[in-house]
Amino acid sequence: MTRRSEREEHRLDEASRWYWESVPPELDLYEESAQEDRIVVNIGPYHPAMHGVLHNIATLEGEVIVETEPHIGYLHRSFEKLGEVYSWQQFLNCTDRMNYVSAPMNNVGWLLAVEHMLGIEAPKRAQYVRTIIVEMSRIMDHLISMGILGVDMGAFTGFLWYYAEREKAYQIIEKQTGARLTTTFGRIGGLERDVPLDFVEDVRAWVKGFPQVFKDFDDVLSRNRIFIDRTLNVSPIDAETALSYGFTGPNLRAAGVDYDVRKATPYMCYPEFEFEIPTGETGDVYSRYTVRLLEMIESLKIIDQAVENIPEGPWRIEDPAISLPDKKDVYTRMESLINHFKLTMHGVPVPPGEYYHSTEAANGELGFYIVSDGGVGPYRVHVRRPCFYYYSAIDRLLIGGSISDAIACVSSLNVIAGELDC
Amino acid sequence: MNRPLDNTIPARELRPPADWEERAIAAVEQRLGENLLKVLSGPDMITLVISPARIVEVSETLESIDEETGFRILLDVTAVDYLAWPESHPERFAVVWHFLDRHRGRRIRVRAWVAEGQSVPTLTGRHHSANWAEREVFDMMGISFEGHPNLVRILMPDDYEGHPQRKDFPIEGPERAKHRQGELQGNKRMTSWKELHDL
Repeated sequence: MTRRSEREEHRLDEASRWYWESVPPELDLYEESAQEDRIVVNIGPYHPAMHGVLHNIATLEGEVIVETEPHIGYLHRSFEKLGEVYSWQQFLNCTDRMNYVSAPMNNVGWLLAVEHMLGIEAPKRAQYVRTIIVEMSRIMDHLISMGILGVDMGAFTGFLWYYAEREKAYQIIEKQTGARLTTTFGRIGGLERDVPLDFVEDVRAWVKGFPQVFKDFDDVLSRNRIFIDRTLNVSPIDAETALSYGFTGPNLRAAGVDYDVRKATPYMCYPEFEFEIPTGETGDVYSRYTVRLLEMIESLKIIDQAVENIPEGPWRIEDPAISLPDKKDVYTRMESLINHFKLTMHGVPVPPGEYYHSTEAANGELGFYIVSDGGVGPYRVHVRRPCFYYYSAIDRLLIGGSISDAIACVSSLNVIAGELDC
Repeated sequence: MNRPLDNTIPARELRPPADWEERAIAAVEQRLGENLLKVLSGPDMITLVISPARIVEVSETLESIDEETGFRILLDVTAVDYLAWPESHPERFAVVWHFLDRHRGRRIRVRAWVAEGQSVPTLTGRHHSANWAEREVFDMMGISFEGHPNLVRILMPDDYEGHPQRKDFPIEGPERAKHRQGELQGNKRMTSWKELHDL
């Protein structure tokens, strides 16, 4: 560090003096007259830190956001309308495109809703595989959201480390489903196919290698002075307000409420696993960050328990009205060919009625509300998206902060535009 | 807005009492009287069918249903258009609310039949989450919520005409549907389970 010479200091003082003298002393910048000086800034929709296509019209006073107007719908594809002409199985492909960061979680949420409506339960092996893939997706979702939180603040390194780890998880999921992003994981009544032979080995290796990357990331960011300055006490939300806004998932837990669908209304085989629900205290950006970090460890515990106890046996329901027959039988046996044709053309008969089923997705309670008239597809689908409720609180969260706080806040909420607009 | 929050109760230690459904129904019935039209028990949760004008009272009642906890969280607001429903139904639309008691992990559904053009009282005075959810219902179904502070479109553009989630709104949009000849204007499935079955 070089020290400025006295002469230089003097010159700087001289240079700025005319400015301070020109400001009339009676001018109060926070008076109403200052409102004319407010600036309206469009943050997004095409802004790299706005995660897809979020749009905020922020009114600034100096650098402080005094008013903000969120606009959404730029990624609205109306999957709820499409669901009304799709079959039960076809809608699974739509769920891929909702939260595309952790698509298997949406898939499993939809499948469980339909399976419960049918009154069936997937075999144990399918449930364990689903649990492993879902918890891997939760980790992948948190990896990317926390990595991006760093990127938005200028810390690129951790993101790259995390992305390398995410890539390994991608490969495991790709081996199972054949796709990386739009996985269409699972089928009604189980899985599409049995897991590959080296699945358990792959998952074990991944679980073994993950803690080191986690520690590296933790070292580089969690105690970083700049990171803490940018995140601690930034856009906090208290538990009561968060609940009133319909927050669920990690953002609610960061505010200190230990609500988790996996514990509150257990589904699949979650009661068989031991895991904790980490909670924060203040609901600010830093506690959202820490809660997600700790959740990754809990998910890792679940994967570890599941992969060690994965049972042998069938991986789909042996019911010709629900599961597709084996491909080799379709080509060689007449009955299987008919069965395949009937299932593909006529679909799965779901009894009439209405049903709401929710799962704990990476972002919170993902609920599917289905109305069936007994047809080949849903009469009406409604998706309760956790992001939708997070983002409805955005005007409250951003007001009073600066633009740089807004970037941190939107990142830490992990709002995925595909899920928000649906 | 709400009662002060008791965060000291851990979520997992409270289990709902066995007769909570009967108690909830009794409490709502006492408050609403004849306006509790019907109670349906589904495989997932019970449904209270009410007159739409009384939703705020139902929300209040459900919130203070037990001594310690109640249905404090409005999970979701949505609506269903029954225009193409095969059986008879009281009105065209049904507005559906889902409430959650996070302490005891239980949910309850409230449903109200709404005619076209009829408006429903808003829940924004009690739950912040009602704000955007009701805007979405208004945008998609065209059901208006009385007393909502900012009832404008949320997903569709501001100058959009029509309400896309209605059953008489063609799936490919009104402009393209004009070119489709000799077909039913509206939402028609590619194949119908029953039709195919009869073949």
